[in-house]
Amino acid sequence: MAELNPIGFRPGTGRLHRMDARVKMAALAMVGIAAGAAGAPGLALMSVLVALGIRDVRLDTGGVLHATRLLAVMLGLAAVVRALSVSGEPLLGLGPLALSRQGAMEGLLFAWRILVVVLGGVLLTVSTRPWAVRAAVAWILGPLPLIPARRVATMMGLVVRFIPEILNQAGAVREAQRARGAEACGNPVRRLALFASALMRRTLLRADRLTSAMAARCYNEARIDPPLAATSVDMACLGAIGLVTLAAVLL
Amino acid sequence: MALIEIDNLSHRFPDGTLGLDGIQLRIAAGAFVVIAGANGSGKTTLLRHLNGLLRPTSGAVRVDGVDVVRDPARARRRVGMVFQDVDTQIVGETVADDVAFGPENLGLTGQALQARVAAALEAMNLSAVRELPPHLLSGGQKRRLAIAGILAMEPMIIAFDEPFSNLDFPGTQSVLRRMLALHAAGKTLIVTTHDLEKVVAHAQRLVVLARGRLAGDGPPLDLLEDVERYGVRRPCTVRLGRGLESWLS
Repeated sequence: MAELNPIGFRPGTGRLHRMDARVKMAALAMVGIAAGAAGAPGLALMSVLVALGIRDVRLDTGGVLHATRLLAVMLGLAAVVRALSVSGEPLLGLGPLALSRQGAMEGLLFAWRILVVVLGGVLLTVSTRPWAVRAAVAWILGPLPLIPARRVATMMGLVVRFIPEILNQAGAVREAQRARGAEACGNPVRRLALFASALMRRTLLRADRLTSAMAARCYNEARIDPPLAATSVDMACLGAIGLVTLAAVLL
Repeated sequence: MALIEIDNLSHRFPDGTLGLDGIQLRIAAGAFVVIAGANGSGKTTLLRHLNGLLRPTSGAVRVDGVDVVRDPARARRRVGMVFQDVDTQIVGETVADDVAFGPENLGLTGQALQARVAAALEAMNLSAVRELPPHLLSGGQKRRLAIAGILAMEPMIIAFDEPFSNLDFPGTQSVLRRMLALHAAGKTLIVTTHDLEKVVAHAQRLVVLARGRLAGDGPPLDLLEDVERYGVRRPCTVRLGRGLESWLS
């Protein structure tokens, strides 16, 4: 059930792979903010930026599209809802609902904005080692009071690591219950409750074993994570991305 | 002085079950010891006392002269443990990251860390898959990854809890070969199993547990005649009068 994740980290030697994770996160934040404010010309400019990134990391676009197909459906639905909620020059009548030209443009722009941000996020995850993402999160959260930054970052890493395992477990539980005729149970709530309780039990048991395994390998919160090191080239790239996103907003 | 000293060790679980009862054991440096017993005999419970994951109800466990309860962190640096369920032992998001986890906990960084990781991956023949996510590995590869993760911490003692469970024949041979290489390199090995067939030919010493008590302790051939009394099957070759045979032959 859990396969190689097309939006997970893949080794590479491109510029993005060599860039500091914090710089990439800052760039993604700029892209996200700019995408929210930009019109069609600005989004086109940012799309070029994203396309350059896709070329740099040699992204498996087919795999990404397949992995995000549900998102594509949601985006489509969101775009339609947006389109139907904006009044203007009518294009199409659907009973009480009317699709306007302006609404259609708004819907398309909305979907385009989300797509740019999602692809930017995929570029981050594909080009960044999970430990670097963890370290960057710990660095960002570090100055904040009352937040155990290292612990939060470690938890994040473990979530990423164990999502495929939990998916495997869910598949195994489902198959085991199916083999014992669970599908014959007519009550879907009961079926869901049986599935969820079995999965939770297995997941919590694994979590307990994981704790022992980490303790056995001397895990402690004073552990030294690999250092992050932003270079002058990274900062120059960040500056360039900043200029592009600013231009996108102003266009 | 023995490397591991277990003095009158008893362990009672929170529900009142007596897991271990008066275990007395000495293990010398460089030994290869198999601890056998039926399910529930106390093998895993005993192993978990060696690195302080469990604490004695009474008695004491000393590793390299120091009481484990007094300094569990020290014990964990000296005793590496490969758990039966390797999926829960592997914590890294990639193979190399997982091997680095232990040394990072010990404070290693930079070139020293990278060298340890590379050496451990090489020893377990995992260098080619270092960038893969662990959930894509085969059962044998995962077991080897778990060993590599322990090896990178350079423990004196490596404890394996049912290392051959869920492994096919090639996977078993692969893990066994690596265990023998570790022993040849000077590591002290402790292997718990209910399936003697796969490993006892290589052990110098067999310890048998039954219902939490020590039922036998000595050279394997001396104990194998009676071992089925304690829920442990004799190796087939012994049953057939052919003595002990390795799974590598």
